Amino acid sequence: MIEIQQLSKTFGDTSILRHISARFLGGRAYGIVGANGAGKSTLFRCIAGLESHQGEISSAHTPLKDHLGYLLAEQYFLPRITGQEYLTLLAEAREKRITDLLDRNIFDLPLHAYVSTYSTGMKKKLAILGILLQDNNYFILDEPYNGLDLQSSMMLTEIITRLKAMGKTILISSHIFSTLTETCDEMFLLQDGTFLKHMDQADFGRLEEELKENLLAKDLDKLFGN
Amino acid sequence: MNYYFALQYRIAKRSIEEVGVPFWVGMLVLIGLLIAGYFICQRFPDYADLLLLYTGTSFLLTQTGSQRIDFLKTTFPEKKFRKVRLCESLLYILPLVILAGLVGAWFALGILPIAAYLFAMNTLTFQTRRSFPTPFRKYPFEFIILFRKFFWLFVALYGLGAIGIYVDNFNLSIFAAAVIILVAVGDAYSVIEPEEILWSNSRSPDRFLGYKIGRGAIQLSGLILPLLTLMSFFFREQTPWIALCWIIGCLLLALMVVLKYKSYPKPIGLIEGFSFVICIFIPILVFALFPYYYSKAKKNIQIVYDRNTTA
Repeated sequence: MIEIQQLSKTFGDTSILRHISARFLGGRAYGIVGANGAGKSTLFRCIAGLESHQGEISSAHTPLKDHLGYLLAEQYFLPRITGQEYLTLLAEAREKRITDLLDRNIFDLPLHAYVSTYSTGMKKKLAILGILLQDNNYFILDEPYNGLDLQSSMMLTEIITRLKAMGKTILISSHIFSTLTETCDEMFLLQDGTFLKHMDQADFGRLEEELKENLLAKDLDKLFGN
Repeated sequence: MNYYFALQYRIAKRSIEEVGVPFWVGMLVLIGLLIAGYFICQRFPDYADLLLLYTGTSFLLTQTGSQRIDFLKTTFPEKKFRKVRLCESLLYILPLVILAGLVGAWFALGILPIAAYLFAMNTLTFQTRRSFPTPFRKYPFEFIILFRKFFWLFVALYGLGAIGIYVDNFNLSIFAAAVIILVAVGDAYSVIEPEEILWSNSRSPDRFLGYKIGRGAIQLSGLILPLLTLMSFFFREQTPWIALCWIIGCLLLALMVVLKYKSYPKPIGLIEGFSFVICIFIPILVFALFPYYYSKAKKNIQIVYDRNTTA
């Protein structure tokens, strides 16, 4: 369980997050939706302890960051390391010994090649595999489907389902709405620095319609001058 | 943690071997540079502290990229993360601390470990939505990045130059100017743009290199001439030396541009880097090396053009 109370974040005079409160339970996946720049990544960075902030973030396992697998939208890789070395580094950092790395290479990545030679999708898969091998209790997946091929996307959806069954807490942001409706139990709409809406599965369809009407239609009207 | 440092060793080994020299040769070159540093500090003891502090801070800065810090922070547990950062920072400055001890640069000897500690402990990465203003904004991208990266260092060096003028110490002022030039020329072209950016320009290799060198020389002049002009006003009899400093800066910049595009899209190799360092001490060599590297750079740019055209 992760609990956020009155979380606020400002950059200079600009307020990005304003008094956000939420509780994310184990065994559930939560979708965070919002326009570009709404503050989704900033929220994730605050939870991961990468940003200073106001308000409280607590979790059942402490410190939270030592039990958190954080998939960044753009993952960083050390230069001149192979896929295998990257995975070993991540596992070793959490004192996990992986002896069957090749068997667990479910994405069939060329682990002996330099990561720099990987495609965008392969890098994403490697990063996902890395945080899975760490055996974390919490997962933040920032745009996990970006760059993935169809088969890997299906695999990721199955992985999220399995993680939920294992009691893990998962926060996901994605611009592909269908991936969220497939995987998430609840969804939060982040707008103007606050959670404007909080919906469970039954209301996902309504949320999509509202997003289309309120966000897209207005913008398209502006563009085409209707 | 041990695995991380073993990996760092492997990365260092690979990066040396990638430039086409065996690892042991690379290590010999590094030891040679340390010995050269020792003699430079012995020859100019007044500037030994500054030189060592600048070099040490530059080393430490290379390890503080926000993405890198975020990666380490999310990868390692909190305590381990701090240990990793502290160990790697201390390892980076260790040779310089030894050098400082050998040449008696006590100020640098005291400050460098403190700097390493502070760099290691300051783990907050900053995101800002406002862009830092730069006088080079119209002409991307080398000097824009450089100016934002080293703004405070340039302010400090300008301050040092002004102190030199105030206390009537020409050497101090010219040292400050030389460091600005070396930082600018050395760092501005370390950023390697994606091939698409090079490919998307419509200039021929000759015109592209001419444009890069010309634009770079103007921008370097914009950065350094205010200080040099002020110096030539207060140290009138030294004006020829001041002008020479500027000319050498432009020559080194021209060499750096062709070295970059000779190696592109890889970073500048060990041999090219060594050639550049030699030219800092014997600038006349630029005239011998420039035509060679110019033709290599021209051919390399053409290869990039062709590769992307046929892809």
